Amino acid sequence: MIVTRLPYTLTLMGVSTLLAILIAIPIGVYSAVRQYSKFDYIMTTVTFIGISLPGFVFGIFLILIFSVGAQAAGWPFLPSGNAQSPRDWVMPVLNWRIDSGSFADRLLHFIMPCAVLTFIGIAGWSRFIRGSMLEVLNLDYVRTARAKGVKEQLVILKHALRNSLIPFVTLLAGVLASIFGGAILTETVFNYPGLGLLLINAITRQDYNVAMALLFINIVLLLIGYLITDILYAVVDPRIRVS
Amino acid sequence: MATAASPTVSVEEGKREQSETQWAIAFRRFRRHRLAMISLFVLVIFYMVAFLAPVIAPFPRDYQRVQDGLLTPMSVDTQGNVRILGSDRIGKDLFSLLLYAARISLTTALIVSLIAATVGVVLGLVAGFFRGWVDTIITRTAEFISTFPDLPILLILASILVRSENVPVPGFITAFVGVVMGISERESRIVALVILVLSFLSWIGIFRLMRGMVFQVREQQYIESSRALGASNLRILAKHVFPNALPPIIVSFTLLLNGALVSESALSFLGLGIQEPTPTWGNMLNVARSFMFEHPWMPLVPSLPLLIVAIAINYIGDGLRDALDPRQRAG
Repeated sequence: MIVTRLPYTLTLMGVSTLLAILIAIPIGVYSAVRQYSKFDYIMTTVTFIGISLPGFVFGIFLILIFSVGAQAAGWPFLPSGNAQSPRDWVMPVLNWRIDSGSFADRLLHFIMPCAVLTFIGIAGWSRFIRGSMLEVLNLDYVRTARAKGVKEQLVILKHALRNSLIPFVTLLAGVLASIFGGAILTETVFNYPGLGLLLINAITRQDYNVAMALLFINIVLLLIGYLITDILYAVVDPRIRVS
Repeated sequence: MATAASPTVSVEEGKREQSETQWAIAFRRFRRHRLAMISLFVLVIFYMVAFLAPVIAPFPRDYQRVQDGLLTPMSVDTQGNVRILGSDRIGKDLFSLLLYAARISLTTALIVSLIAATVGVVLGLVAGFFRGWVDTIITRTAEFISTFPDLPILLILASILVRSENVPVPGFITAFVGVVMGISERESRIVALVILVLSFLSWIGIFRLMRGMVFQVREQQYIESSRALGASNLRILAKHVFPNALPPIIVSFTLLLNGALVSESALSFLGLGIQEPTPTWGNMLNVARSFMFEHPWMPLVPSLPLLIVAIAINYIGDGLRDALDPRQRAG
């Protein structure tokens, strides 16, 4: 039961975490480098709303727009629940025939839950990276690097970014735990058959053995997260040696 | 992370700051944060509306009429009454329900954060000041609780407590909750249990903060001098240690408030927290979810206020952080 559902949650968490990191770092860096620019203002506002927005509310907004609204308007829409459709269906306007259980079908079901988790990740992390970039950019060695004529791009990417990522890495483990928490709510909203939904169903059916097993798995995932963090920390910060 | 323009302190202002108390400075800085002021205003309005729910709401809380079910906003029902935000499946007025739910959701969040902050501050003061075995016991307990992932343990605890009929809740607590939220004793039992679970899991952040601050402050010389002057432990804690640690605590209180509001909504949304007929924004959203396709306005009714309040609380926190951060004073 758990093994069949584990891949859903792991892909959801993995893909959204990766996407969030890939998007959050450039946003954070750019906001910090161009502090108080238009881009920075827009991004700080958007990410501020992002950190305030509860994941399940965001999920419902997405369903309202991309499933309910789009379907009502006759546009191409995203399916609002489950991991695949029960039968083959046709995407309006584009006239794609989508077979039940095909890759495209699964992908279309995957987009919205993944988007929710990604957005939450981006919101928190880009703010964090912006903050630590701003701190690092004012340090002496960045000035030294600029003074000795290192290209601006290189200063930002190599001198500033690498160092501002050090605190970010320590944040990751805790974030993995909160993503699992977010996955519970997101999976429930989208009826996505991962571990989170299993946990909710187990709790509502008062099946506490399953619930405890899931809690245990969650703690194991958390510990793995801490382990990865420690290893990454040594990679990012050469002052720390893994002995 | 100032969202408003960075504060530039002129010479005159610098002089003025010397003659003012810290709190006056902080208040002036806070007022300059425009979004935070607007947010504070919005939040106060929300709380006022929530408490005046019985006065403002056009219908009593439990009024229902199946014939008037699933009306769209601003439509007129069979009795000739206007349903401002429409009605749900059994004909409850969504606008009235929203107001009553605001009262439950907002007060629950406030009570939870007050309890968690008090517990965290007191335990943090005690652990940080007395150290030794007292510190060990409290810190280990806090660590034990925080090893569990937040949301799953919250869900499991809440479901166990809320479901079981035989968890005793002292009468004065249910009576208090009932009076504050305007609900019957039977309903307030569940609300009290939800408050209990939420506060049990949320005091740890403030505790850690307080303990750390005490460790920092207690080594300062003025603590030593006040001890030399014969001040008692209690006096030192209350007069010197606590006021010094207050600014960061106020900031993290806003985080706590937001966290409590969202957690309670999430719990009730999943059907594990406060149950119908007691309305909260969370369980209203849960009900509305089933009608999302036919009646897309229904989920918007509870979720937009929830979003607005969450954003407002965060902006207030942001403004407070800017106002209370002593590192900015030099700037």
